[in-house]
Parts: sequence; C-alpha cells; structure tokens
Amino acid sequence: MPMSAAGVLLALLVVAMVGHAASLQHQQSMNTADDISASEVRGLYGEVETNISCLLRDSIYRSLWEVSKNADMYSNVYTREHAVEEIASEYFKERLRELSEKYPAHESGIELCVTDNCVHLTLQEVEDGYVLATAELPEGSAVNLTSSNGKLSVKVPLEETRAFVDSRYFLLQERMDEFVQRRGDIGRFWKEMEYIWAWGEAWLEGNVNLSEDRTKGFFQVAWAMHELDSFGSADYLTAAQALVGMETPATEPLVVTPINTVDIERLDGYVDRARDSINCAKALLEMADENISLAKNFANENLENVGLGKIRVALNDSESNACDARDKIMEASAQFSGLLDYLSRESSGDVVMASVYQGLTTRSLDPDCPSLKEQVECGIEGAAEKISAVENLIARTAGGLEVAAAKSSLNQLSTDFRNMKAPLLEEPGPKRYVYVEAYEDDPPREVQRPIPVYIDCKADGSIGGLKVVLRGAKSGFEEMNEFSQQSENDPPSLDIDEDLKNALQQNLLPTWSDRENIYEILPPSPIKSSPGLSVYHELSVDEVKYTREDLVGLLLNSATDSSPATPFPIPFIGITLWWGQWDAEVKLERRPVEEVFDFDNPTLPLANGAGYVHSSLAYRWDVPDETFDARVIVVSTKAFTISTG
Amino acid sequence: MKGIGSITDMLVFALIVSVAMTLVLSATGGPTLGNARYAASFSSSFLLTIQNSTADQFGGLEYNLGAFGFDLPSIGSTTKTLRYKTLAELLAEDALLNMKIEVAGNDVQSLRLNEDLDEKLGRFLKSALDEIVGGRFGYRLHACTEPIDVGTARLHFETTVENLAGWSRQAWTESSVVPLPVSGGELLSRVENALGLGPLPVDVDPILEMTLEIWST
Repeated sequence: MPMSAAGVLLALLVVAMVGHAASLQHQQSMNTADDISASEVRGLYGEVETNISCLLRDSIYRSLWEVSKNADMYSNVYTREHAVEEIASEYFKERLRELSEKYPAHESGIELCVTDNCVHLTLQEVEDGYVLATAELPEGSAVNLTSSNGKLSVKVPLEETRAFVDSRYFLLQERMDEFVQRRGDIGRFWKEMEYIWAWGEAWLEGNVNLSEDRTKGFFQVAWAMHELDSFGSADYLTAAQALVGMETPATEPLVVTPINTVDIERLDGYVDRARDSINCAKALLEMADENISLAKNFANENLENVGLGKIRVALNDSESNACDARDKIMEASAQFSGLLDYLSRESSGDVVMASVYQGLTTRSLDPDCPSLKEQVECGIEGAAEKISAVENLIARTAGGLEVAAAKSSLNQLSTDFRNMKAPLLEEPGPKRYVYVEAYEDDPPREVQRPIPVYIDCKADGSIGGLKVVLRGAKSGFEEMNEFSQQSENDPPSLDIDEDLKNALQQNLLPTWSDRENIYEILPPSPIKSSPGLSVYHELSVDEVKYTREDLVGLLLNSATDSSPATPFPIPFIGITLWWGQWDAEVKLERRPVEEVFDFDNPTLPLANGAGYVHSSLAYRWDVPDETFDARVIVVSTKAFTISTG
Repeated sequence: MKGIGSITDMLVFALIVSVAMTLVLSATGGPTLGNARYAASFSSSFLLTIQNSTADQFGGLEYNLGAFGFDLPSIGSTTKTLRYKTLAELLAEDALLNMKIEVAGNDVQSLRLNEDLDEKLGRFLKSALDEIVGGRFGYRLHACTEPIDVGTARLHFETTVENLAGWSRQAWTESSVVPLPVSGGELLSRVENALGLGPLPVDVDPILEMTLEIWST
C-alpha cells in the first residue's frame, strides 16, 4: 500500500503515543497498588493498636475484679490502686505475649515483637468514676507491618497504649469509703428507731417490750438507711426479710413530742402573772393597814381639829385597798384558770400536755395529796373570804364611827386588822407531808420522797399559802424540764426515705443461699437511679443483749423481768416522770460484709458456672465492727414498765 | 491514483488515531482500577470503624439474660446494657459468651444464659453496619473462632452479618482479628471444667477472626 512520508511520520507519532500511554498505565497501576498497600498497612497498624488496647482493658477488668472483691485488704486507696496496676501489668504482659504468638497464624502482615521488659501501668479516674488506664509497653517492643503484596513494610515502635475501662471503680471506692467512715450513722439511725418505738409503746401501751426480733429488724433497716445514704440503694431484700413478723411495719410514722419540748416559758407565764397578782394583793393589804394606821393617828392626835372627815376618807381608802386586794386574788385565780384552759386546749393533740393537765388537776401522786388545782382553788377561795372579812371589818368600823368612840374603835380596828392580816400574808409551813416512792442514786436505792401539802381546805387559804404553792408549781415545771433535758434524747429527726419504705414493703422474697453469687450476675435494681449501684450485705445477728441502766433497773439487776421504769415524783405539779434507760447491744456472728455493684455497667465478661456472663464490677468490704450499741432513754409522764421477750 | 493514495493515508491515519485514543484512555486506569482502590480504602476504614466505634454511637446494646427464650425469675435485674464497648469487642465477647457445641457436625442445643445477646447483637450490628456503609456497597462480615477440638465435640463460634441485596460482584475482601477477652489458657481450663474433662492436649487460640467482603454492582 502506497504511503507518503507524512503518513510514516504520523504512524511513528501514534506508536510513540501508545508507548507513553502504556507507560502511564503501568505507573498508575503501581500507584494504585502502593495506595492499597499503604491503606492496608494503616489498617493493620490500627488493628494492632486497638487489639493492644483491648488486651489492656481486659487485663484491667480482671485485676479490678480481683482487688475489688477484697478491697478491705488494702490499707488505703494508693496501695489498692497499686495492686490493681501490678496485677493488670502481669496479665497484660501475658496476653501481649500470647497475641504476638497467635498473630502469624491469622495475619501474615503483622509481626508483633514484645520484649520481656516490664510494663508500667497507671490508672486514672475520669468523669463519673470510670477508669482510664495507660500502659507503657515493654521497652523495645515494636510491630512489623507488611502489605499483602510484600511491597510495603514498616516497623513501628510500640510505646504507650490507653484503654477506657467501662467500670466505675473509683466511684465504688469513694462510696464504700464514705460508707465505712460514716458507719456511726447506722447506730444513730438504729437508736432513733428504738427510741421512737419505745416512746410510742411507753405512751400508748404503758409497757416497753425489749424485743430481739424488733431490734434485729430495726438494725437491718438502719443499715439499709445508711446504705441508701452512701450508695443510693440498699440491700432491701435482706432488710425486708428482717421485718417479717414484726407487729407493725417499722416504717409507720409516729409523732413524738418529748417532754423537753413542752413550752415551759408559756406555763411559767401564767404562774408568774398569778404570783404578781398575789404580790399585788399583799401590797394592797399593807396599804390598807397603812390607811387604818393613818386613821388611827388622826383619831389619836388631832381628832378635834380634823373631825371624822379625814378618818372616814382614810378608812374608805383602806376598804378600797382591801377590795382591790380581793380583786387581785381573783385575777390570780383567772390566770390559773387560764393556765388550765391552755393545757386543756393543748391536751387534745399532745399527750405530754394532757398528762401535765392531769397532773395539775387530779391527785395523781397520791390520793392523799391534793392537786395543785385543788390547793390553788381552796387557797383563792379562802384568801378571798378572809379579805372580804377584812373589808367588812373596815366597813363596819367606818359605818359606826362616832367622835366619842372613834379613838377606841380605830385602835380596835387596827388590832383586829393586823390579827387578820398576819395569817393571810404569812407564808405557812407545810401542813403535812405525803410520802411517795422515789429513787436516789449512789448507791441506787428506793426512798420515800416527802411531798409537802400547804392547803387542804378553804380554811387554809391565804395569800402566803398561795405564794408558796405557786412558787412550788413554777419550780416543779423547771424541775421537770431540767430532768427531761438531761435525760431525754434530742427530738428525733428520723426520716425514712419514701423509696426505701416502698422497697422494704414490696420485696418480700424467699431467701436463697449463695445470694452474693446471684447478685454478681443479677444485681437487684437500685432504689435511686443515680448513681445506679446495687447493694448486698451479709449481716447475721448472733445475740441481742439489753442492760437496764435506770435506777429501778439497776436495783433489779435483771433484764428478764417486767419491771417499772424509775419514778421521779415532782411536788406541787403532781407529775411523776418515769425514766427508763437501757443499753441495747447487737452482737454479730462475724464481721459484716458490705458489697456494692456497678449496676449500670454490667461489662465484665466473667466466668460463672459453666460459661461466661457479663457481670458488674463488685466492691466488697469486711466491716470491722462486730458489736453495735444503742443507749435508749425514755422519759414519760405516764407510768410504764419495761419487759423483755 | 494520487487522489486515491491521499484518501488511503487519511483513512489509515484515522484508524491509527482511533486505536491510539483507545490505548491512551485505557492507560488512565479506567473505572475498574478506581473502584478497586475505593473498595480497598473503604473496607480498611470500615474495619477500623468496627474496631473503634462504640455501641453508644449506635444507640447502645441491651439484652436480657435468659435461656431457651424464658426469662429468669425476678431476683435481680436480668437486663444488661452495654454502651462503651466497640463493635469488635462486642463480637469478641459474644464469641466468648455464646460458644456453640458441635457434636458430629451438628450444633447441640445447650442452656445458654446469653443467647439473647447473640440475637440482639446480630440485629444491632446489622443496623450499625448499614449505617456505616450508607448504601455505598454491599457487605458481608463473617466472624469465627478457631474451633476447640475436645475429641467428640468441638466448641466454636461463628456469625455472619450481611447486606448483599442488589449487589452482585465481590469487590474486595479484607480480614482482621480481635482477641477474645480471656487468654487461651483460661479458656481451655474453663472448657475442661465445664465438660468435666482432664487436661486436654489442645492449644486454644483465643482469637476471633473477622472477614469483611465488600460487594459492588
């Protein structure tokens, strides 16, 4: 075929272009292969990095479990963390070695070289108490990565790896430390429950029964309350079991008003105002006396000049003073009635006030001992009558006054008035004594306490007598207050969480053996959703012992009998304070175990039975105390006995 | 004649230019090489995502302990919520918790407390991987352990998660391994205890092998 020179040139040009294109194609293939190799090697490195991190996390899981299950064996947080790090380092090294041996069988492109040098591992707390572990790999460790086509090979030194461990070890540690350090709260909660219950029994039933079952129940509830405070949950299943068989649910609210909360100032206010009135009456009678003396002086010294006018004025003033004195006595009566009305009103919702009212208005100390009300009413009536007699005497004298006999009449009036005034104003001694049973300390012994009686009837009524009786009432209130303040507990402020109450009332399940193991797999739901921890405790009460400490109890020297509380009769106000005091001791079979589980993170693949199960990290502590004490003091204005059984 | 020769030159020249253009175009690599590179890069990233993404990023995984479809009695909570484990770790833990027993080539139905994990994880992975792939490729993720041969029985784990609907051609394959959460020694000792056997002369490989196939149209 004929072809021109231009054609030949064109053909050569095309051949050159084709050659160049072929070369480009080859180059591009090579580039693609290199890209793929680089991507592959990057992937291999990523795989090695994440796998080493996995091994670290698994090693931490295991060491955390081992250490946390015996957390109390370590003296402080540092030694405990150090133990976790040490154990995890060993596991990590072992797993690294194993991985390096197994890699060639699975990944020809990975050659993991781990030296025998030590691994340095540290734990760090991150948000919410989780763990961040950092491991410095054995010095000289490296990974050789080769692409599958063998064209790309790199050696990367391995220095450090990190792993986030999804178990809140630090949170468990912190909450358990809080639980152990503040375990005194268990005793406080328990004591308050015992006190409230005993107080209620003393008032409502007149007998405090020291029941071992109840004490065991209360102790479990107190333990659960402290758990709730520390962990946001409690071993409510166990606590609920302990409450089975108790007469009334332990959580039923009781309104407790201790005696030392009585408004003594208010009661004293009425008494003080009555005493002021009595003092005024006394002063007015003295003024009446002075006016009689003035009239007498007019008559004796200047009768001719002054006439009867000034004498009559003075006698009228005196009569008026006596009248005012009687009114003051009636004011005192009104104040005392006001006191009784106040107590009567308050009695409807307050058993202590009711008993104070009863003490003031009935012969509660002894049938032979008149009540304060009787004494005051007789005293008022008697005193008012006597003042009226004085008034009449003055009026009679003033009415029959004549110039000739004025002098002698007024001398006679003055003498008669003073004869009547003296017994009216004079503070009498006790008319008689009534003896009531009481106890004294050092050595404890029974004594007969004399209760003085000043006013038995209207005839005994006088201003002096009223003063003594009302002063006695005031000191009686103070004595009552002082005694209760010294003996009674502070007003209890026990507030059982509503959620805990519900949990205790709704979780009556049969008991099972090996509960701890079951909880590891199936931890019970927490009472509070935050922080999301489950709680287990092992608490077996071996013995409950009660020791009476009030005087009657000490004298009886036995806690097995039913015996009265120690009476403290208070004169004038007719109240006997009944004091019961005992020490309750709970002795445990062995050191209690407290364990808390990270309920929200069931992340540890742990061997259980024949297989593996995702479990929550547990933190277990042997609480060092085996005995717990609670001193309970009940002071009541109502007589009660104390029995056991 | 001269006119005919020129026409022939022009025709030959046009033919040669067409052939050359075809060669030059093919030298740029064309769609096949680009797809291969994309598929390789994608599968590598895909595996890294499986190894590094946590369950929480896909809504978390929750399952219940039980056996043969029955719930356990309500002593405590049977619900397990896993949030911070990576997808690869979940697979490795599923492998440990749900090892299957095979006798004479047949799976033996045994009491497995964690069977719900197997089921829920399968669905969870399918949904997570679909989200990661985003419809760009089809995929098949196969995970298996080296069987532990104890004479009459074999213990092994195997699972596959795939979405191949509409994809016809396998574009790339890549594999990766994840260590099981326990060492080979511990796993062997657990198997010996569970089966009541003495020391077994076998080497347990505590590795889960994952193979990822990327499919295209």
